[in-house]
Amino acid sequence: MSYTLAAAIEALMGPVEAAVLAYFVLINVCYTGLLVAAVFEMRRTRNEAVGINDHIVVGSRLAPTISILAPAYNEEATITASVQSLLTLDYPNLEVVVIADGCKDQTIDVLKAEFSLVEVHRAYAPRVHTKGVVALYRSVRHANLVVVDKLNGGKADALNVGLNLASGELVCAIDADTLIERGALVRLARPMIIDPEVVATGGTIRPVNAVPTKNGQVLDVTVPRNMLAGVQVVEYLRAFLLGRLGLNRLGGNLIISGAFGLFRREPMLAAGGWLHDTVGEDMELVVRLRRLGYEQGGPSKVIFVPDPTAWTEVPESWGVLGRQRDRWHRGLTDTLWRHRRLIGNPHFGAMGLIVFPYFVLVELLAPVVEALGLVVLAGSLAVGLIDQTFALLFFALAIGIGLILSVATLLLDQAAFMRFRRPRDLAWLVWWSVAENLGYRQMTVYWRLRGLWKYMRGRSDWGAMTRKGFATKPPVSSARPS
Amino acid sequence: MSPDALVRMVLFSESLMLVVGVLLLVAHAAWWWWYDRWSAVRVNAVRASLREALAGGDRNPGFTRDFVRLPMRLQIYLLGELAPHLTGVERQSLRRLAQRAGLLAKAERLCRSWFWSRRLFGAKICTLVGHPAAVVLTLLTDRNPSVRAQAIEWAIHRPEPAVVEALLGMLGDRDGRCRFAAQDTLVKLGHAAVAPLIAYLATADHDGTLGALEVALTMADARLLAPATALARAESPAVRARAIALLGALGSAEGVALVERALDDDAAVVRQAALRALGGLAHWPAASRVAKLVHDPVWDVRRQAALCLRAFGAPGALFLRQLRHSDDPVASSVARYALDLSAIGATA
Repeated sequence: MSYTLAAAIEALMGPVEAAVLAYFVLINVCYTGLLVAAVFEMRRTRNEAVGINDHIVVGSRLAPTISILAPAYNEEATITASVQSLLTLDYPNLEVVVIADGCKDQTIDVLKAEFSLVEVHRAYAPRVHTKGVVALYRSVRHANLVVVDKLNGGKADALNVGLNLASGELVCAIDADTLIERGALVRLARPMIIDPEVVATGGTIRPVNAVPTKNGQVLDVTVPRNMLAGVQVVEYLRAFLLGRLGLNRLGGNLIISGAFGLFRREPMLAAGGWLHDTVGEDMELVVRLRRLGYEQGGPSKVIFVPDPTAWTEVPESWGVLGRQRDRWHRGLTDTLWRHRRLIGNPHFGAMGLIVFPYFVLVELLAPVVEALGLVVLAGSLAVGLIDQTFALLFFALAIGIGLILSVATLLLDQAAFMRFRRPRDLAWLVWWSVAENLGYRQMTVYWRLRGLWKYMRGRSDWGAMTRKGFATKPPVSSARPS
Repeated sequence: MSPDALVRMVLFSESLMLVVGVLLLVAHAAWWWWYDRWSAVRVNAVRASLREALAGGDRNPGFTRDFVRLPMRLQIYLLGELAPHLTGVERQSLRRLAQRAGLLAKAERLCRSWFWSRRLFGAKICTLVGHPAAVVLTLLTDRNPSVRAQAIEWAIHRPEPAVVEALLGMLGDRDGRCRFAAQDTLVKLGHAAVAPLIAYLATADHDGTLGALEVALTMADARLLAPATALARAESPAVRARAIALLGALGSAEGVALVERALDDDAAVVRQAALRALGGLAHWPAASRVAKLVHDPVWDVRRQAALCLRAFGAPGALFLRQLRHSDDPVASSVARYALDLSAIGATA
């Protein structure tokens, strides 16, 4: 390498290095702040849970009606178990709306046979524009079950049809293959009952891979031995119990998972339902609801509740996981771009001043800066700006902070819910927290960068997702009921 | 300090934190492992002796001995598990057993605690065993909403006018859980709450009236006819709608006349309530008036009108069959929907 090139690189590396270092400090200060906020918030929500007895809500005729919206696309293998588990949830006033989104398999026929469905005339007010409804069915056996067959239009369109048909004061959007714990709805509705200013609530999502299930209910909680699934257990815990719980206290959430979220129906209809032309429709909706709440008056709080849990299957192949993460990052970018007016805008309170800048600086730009950091590290090593020992130590330091956050989240989860009762499961979780840094984390940086690149090039496809399904999975031989 | 030394120092602190974190995880898991086994044996023993004590007219000295040895959280857990399933003599036995174990005195002490979580536990114990301790009355005005909500739930054991009045005052509580608990308790109190509810409806503000009407609607006591009649002429459409719904639930000749009149109300929400009420009463003489509302400008009213006709049985079905061939596509659509529902006997 010539002297002038080395000098040029050295001159360039200085400021870039400083910027990356500053970002590194900022991001870790944010995470530490979130962790501290999450601990306080967990204490508050646990106290709140003691204060309002679930059995009062379950036994009360005054509980607000909840319509569960379950969009399904080619789910013939799992749809019966899913609908049965939805119908047996512990909630007094419940309506289940299954939306078959142009299924090409036997989903509708299976539903017709299993739940004695009879076609009724399609009469509903199309307050939100959607693709056409082919048929509407009611069950002879379950008065609270409604099934819609519609033309394929994607998840957002299916949810909008459900929104038009729902009769409940609250609507719960789920994925048809999500398993919801029996008492979860009551706990999710609790903040809505307590505070009329709350427009949406979301619960914790946990990976169901390797977890034994029966009749749509989880029998025991175990940690997957598959690396990808195992790492995602830790990742999901960190995202929900650290990120979302912490944000509750620091200005509210911008994301309610599309797999399990509860919304007030009227503000949803007024806002126009889920958007079709985005791959991040769940986040976009939440931001829009909060924004409208601020702009027009009305409920604008979005609360994450840690104790209600839904279980979902996470990808176990690198290809599928990559497509999912790439899509999530495109969704995030799209939402932040659409609502860019909110960034730093004091009119939107803590959402504009704290939460939105956090999402832009930490969630959106993290992969860019992380990749830049790796390039700078390699470049600095090449031109001898830093020595190898220092580089290794700094790398270990970065990994160490991530590990501390993961272990702290595990502690928070265990102290609050004690989900993992076997010592070997805990050992596996600690191991997955370590293993996450050895390739997985770097791949997520690559996928998110790819998502950002695709977004800039205008790509808005979802990418194929394959699932194994979990109609009934037997417990492992050593499993004990929790 | 050089950057190298700084990084080494931070790394050392990180390692220390990590070791502490993992040790805490292990210690927590080990403690729970031990506690699970320790408590399972004792809880099972107490559960068995409690069962025996209740079956034998609460004469079982073993129960008291075993019960007082349990931590308070487990005592509450056991009571919470059993109490909702007990009534009458068995419930009284449970209270006597709790008294003999010293739990009631302890609960009263807890209710006076400076810490809200202890007051909450105290109120919870009193609620579970049905202990009508006067000290819980003071918690109805506690500064902590969780404690207030628990005290409201307890009030079911003290159906006195003063308590009911306090509950009615809480229909306008600033905390939603207290409002919900107050409504639920008033509904469960039933007969004892009716007279104070009538008095409250005469003076309450808008939000309080709405909450009270919801309670009244669930109770559907005939004595509520007079306030419902008065409120059916209220200024607020939301109040009128709930009053009409209440009249529909009560169903007197005077009430039905008012409900019929509400079919012409300016507010869609009131027309909808009137249709639901008439459907619930199966008041088929109103069928021709209801059929006109299938052409209402508001979609929800049209749908409700069709469902109301369906609820009228044969007379309504005649109108629905006629409407099925209407030139108005929405009227035809909702009529077909209602007829289809009739065919399968589903509730809309």
